Parts: sequence; C-alpha cells; structure tokens
Amino acid sequence: MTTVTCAVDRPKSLEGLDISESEGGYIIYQPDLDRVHFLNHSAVVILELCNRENSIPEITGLVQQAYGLTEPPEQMVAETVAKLREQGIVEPAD
Amino acid sequence: MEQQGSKDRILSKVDASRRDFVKRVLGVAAFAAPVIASFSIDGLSIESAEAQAFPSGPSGCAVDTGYNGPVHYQAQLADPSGATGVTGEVNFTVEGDNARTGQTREIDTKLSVTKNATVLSAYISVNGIDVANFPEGQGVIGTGDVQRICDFDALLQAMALEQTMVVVQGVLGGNAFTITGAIEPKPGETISLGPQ
Repeated sequence: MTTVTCAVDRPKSLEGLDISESEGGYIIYQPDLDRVHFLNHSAVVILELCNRENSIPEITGLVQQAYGLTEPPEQMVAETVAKLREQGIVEPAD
Repeated sequence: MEQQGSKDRILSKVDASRRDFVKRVLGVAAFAAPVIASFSIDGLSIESAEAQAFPSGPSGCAVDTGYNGPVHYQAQLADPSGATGVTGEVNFTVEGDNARTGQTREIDTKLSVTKNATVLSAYISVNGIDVANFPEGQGVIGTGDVQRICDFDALLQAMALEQTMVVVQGVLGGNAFTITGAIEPKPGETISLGPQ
C-alpha cells in the first residue's frame, strides 16, 4: 500500500517588506523590482494572516469569523493569496 | 464572542509595529472584495486590479439620493517610501447647482508638486483603484470622468467618508516618484449641498 502525503499550503509573506500604512490600506514598495502595490483593508488582513501558521482554509475561517460573514470567502481568499504570490509579496507555494 | 476571538487571534500574529493599524482596520472596516493594485514604478501604469472599487450594475449601486457633504477638500502628498523628498498638494472644489437640485456637476482640481518635478499621472483612488484622473495645475473631473465606480456621486460619497486617496506619479531629476495622501475635507468645512 502506498501512502501519499500532501503538504499543507501555509503561505508566508516575504521578510522585510517595505510596508506603509495609508488611509485605504497598505502601500508596499519593492524598489528592487520597481514595483509598488496598494492593498485595501480586506487584502491587508489576508496578508497579515500569511504567516506560515495558517493554511488557506484557516485564513478563510478567520476572515469569516472576524467579519461575521455568513459564507466563507473561500474564492476571494484563495485568489488574493494567489495574487500576492504572483506579485512577489507572499512566498511561492512549496 | 467568536468574532472577537478571531480578531484577537489575527492581531496576536501581526507585527507589533502594525498592530494598531490592523486593529483599526478590523474595528471599523466592513469586509469588501480584496483589492491588490500593482504598479510598475518604471512604467508608471496600473497593471492589475482584483476587483472594482465599488460593485457595478443596478443591484450593486446604491440609489442616488444626491450629495450632502463638504465642498472643499484637500490632500497633502508625500512619498511614503521616503526615497524622495517630493511633496505636493491638491485642492478639490465640488461645483454644481446643488442648492437648487441637489445635483453636482464637476470637481475642480488644483494640483501642485515640488518645483521641477514632472507629473506623469494623477488620480483619485478608492480602495487602491484609480477611479478618476486629473492633470497637474488646474483641471476638472466631470460626471463622465469616473471609472470603476458606480457613478460620480459614489465618488463624492467616498470623499465625504474619507475613503479616498490621491496618487501622483512622475519624475524628478530622472528618478521616478510616487506620492500619495488622503483626501480630507478642509478644516471647518460644513457646507451642505442638498438633500441627503
């Protein structure tokens, strides 16, 4: 019998991000990449939960509970994490 | 109880230097579609946006009841990265025959930046999304100039609720810069513009 083990995806934001707080959320500068990113409040919370301790379903659950949402925002969280990875703000998946 | 527990758990993992900010975010802001707007500083162009600043379509837009809020706004602009010393200021004046009809017609803009700096783009953002562009010096944002937001009044309401920012990108001495600042009613601004 073969046992297949799947690693749980626990996203983590990059170390040393240049984050500035603004009225609308975070402004993240990546001068080495010539990039600047604007995150609104909801994206800020998701980014802060990308700390290697939470899986994407756990992030979804925390966001749902924190905002008292009736439905888990599964798709929005997954897409946001993917976008953060695509933009080099969160480490790539293992 | 569960809701507060989740917020506490989130806050316990946030870097101490940003905890107060995230606490405010969790305390006052309702959950909206997450938005990540990414720019190439070099290219000075918006490249992506996850969602619209406000939902569009008949079901997503509030019924327009007219505008009731300040007439004069301002934004003090600075480079949040601290990489440049470029600064700027924008003044906004909401114009229209509001007293008679409660309808607004345009926002007059006046943007000034550090001497010798060249402005390549300037816009008002809501949730990080460009919703209205305006030029350096004097300009006008008309009712047909808003984008990715329900309508002109939605922009005015966002400004009145202090949910808007100005983002200005340009070059100075061959170096690109981005300066930003929150749009706020001018101090003492209490003028009412019509029915709410």
